[in-house]
Amino acid sequence: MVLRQFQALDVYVTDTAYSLELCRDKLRCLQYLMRKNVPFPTTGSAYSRVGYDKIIKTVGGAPLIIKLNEGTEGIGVFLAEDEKAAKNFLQTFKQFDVRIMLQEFIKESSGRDIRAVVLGGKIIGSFERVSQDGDFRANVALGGLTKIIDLTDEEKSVILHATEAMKLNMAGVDLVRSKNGPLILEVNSAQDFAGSHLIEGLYNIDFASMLINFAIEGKKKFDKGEAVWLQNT
Amino acid sequence: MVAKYIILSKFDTFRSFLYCLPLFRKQEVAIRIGILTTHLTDEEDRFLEAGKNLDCDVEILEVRKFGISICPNNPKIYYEGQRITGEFDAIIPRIDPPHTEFGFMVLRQFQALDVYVTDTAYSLELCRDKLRCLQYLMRKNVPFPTTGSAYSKVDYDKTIKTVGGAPLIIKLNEGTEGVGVFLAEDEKAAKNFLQTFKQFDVRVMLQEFIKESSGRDIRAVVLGGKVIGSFERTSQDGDFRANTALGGAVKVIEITEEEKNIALHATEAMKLNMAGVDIIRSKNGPLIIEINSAQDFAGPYGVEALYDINFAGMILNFAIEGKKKFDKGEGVWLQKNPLKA
Repeated sequence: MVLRQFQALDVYVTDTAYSLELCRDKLRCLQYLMRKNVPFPTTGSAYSRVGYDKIIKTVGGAPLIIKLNEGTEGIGVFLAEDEKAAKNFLQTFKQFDVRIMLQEFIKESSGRDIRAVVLGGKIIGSFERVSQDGDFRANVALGGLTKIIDLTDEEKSVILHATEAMKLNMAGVDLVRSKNGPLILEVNSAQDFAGSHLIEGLYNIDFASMLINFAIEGKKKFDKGEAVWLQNT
Repeated sequence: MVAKYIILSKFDTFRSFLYCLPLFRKQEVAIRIGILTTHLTDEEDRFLEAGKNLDCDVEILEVRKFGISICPNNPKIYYEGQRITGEFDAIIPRIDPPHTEFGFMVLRQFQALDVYVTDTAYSLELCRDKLRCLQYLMRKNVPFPTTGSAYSKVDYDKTIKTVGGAPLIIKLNEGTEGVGVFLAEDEKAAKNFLQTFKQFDVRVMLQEFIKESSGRDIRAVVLGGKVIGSFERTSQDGDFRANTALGGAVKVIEITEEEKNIALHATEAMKLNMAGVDIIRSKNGPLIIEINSAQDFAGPYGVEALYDINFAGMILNFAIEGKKKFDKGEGVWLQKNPLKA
């Protein structure tokens, strides 16, 4: 709301409220990416009981991932071992009008994912997160360890394609390596970067300054009437 | 009745006046029982069927068709737009989600009109929230699995430890038919549930997982302080939940005196006349899991089919007898104390 107000006052913002809102709801974000042909795990959602079986089948049956449409740091992400467990989640959350989605479980990358840090259409760094206790979630907030990792060209192009689709300048893109190639899990607009296990510590860079520099350059372009988004692809 | 009134009025206006009073009419009319229900199910049909063979008129009252008016000392009830005054002698509540709140409200209104109800809104409400029910049972010394709840993150560890660590059961305080009951395999999974539900202000509780009885439990059917029947439910697919709604198979089972006692002790604590008490057999003896106030009894897995009894008729008879006692000023609840007998 405040951000939109700044935009209404014609203040330069590094990312628009619209893009950030798109990211907030994971399902909406994926629907957007779908239209831009970005690869991600098959995802489904259903409101009423009659739709459950079909949707479970669509995402490849159990085990499958249950995710809150709006969740962070791995909270609200569950692994349903069988179809009955999946239906239990669906019915429970429906009862409270909480929107959730079902997602294909990529077994081969359980407990690990890759975070790519993007700024202004460039990949600044990438690291792998690995769960240390058998959890299928690799989130750092849940104790996942991080390690710098090199991305393939395909992965890089998928990542930049995704942030471009979302018209995001700053983003943390999560992806998993499936046997059919890289898949985008989600796009985070407000990633953490401070700390030894995150981008600043791992690459020994001053990411905060880079962001500020980006904003300074962006503001100059903005004043010249160039697009707020995408200064550099 | 109208004809009688006209003829009598020619002879004796005083007697005809008496006939107009409900008090004097009552002997001629069978007891009128209303089944206050949130859903039309097989159970409601069974009540209508059973009512035909008994000295009572049964009417199904759908909660959603009620309106109530609350004024000081002037409770009013409307059903399908018509005011209800003395039409019912007894109300049998059968209230299930998602219209429980409204159902209890209507039931309380009947109670305010001094209509006899087989179970009070207070008892039913106590049961609806599983945690509250257990807190009540705790004070009455009824055994149940150790249960905990915590609001903030700093208290999670302690609570998880209290219920014996993972694996543990996560349960919505208000859930039915096994929906909203999860098994958390480890502490991190348990915390994920706690944090997720907290985010939406949904109250959940943690409960000790009784491994030795995973996938099976016992349902004891209680009516008026007596155990009418008992059956075991067994999950058929490795699920830790045994609910018939989830495919659990049922089988009549003899329960021990101890099990009977705790079932009756629990219903007495909740002051419930009709209840389905769920019990599991742990290595330390029987434990109550929950008490259901609106149990299903019709159908192939219900107590009627398993025991070949007319349970709907038994409930109606209980209401008829209860109403008589109620008129004599005897307590609505507990006509017979099984523990003192």
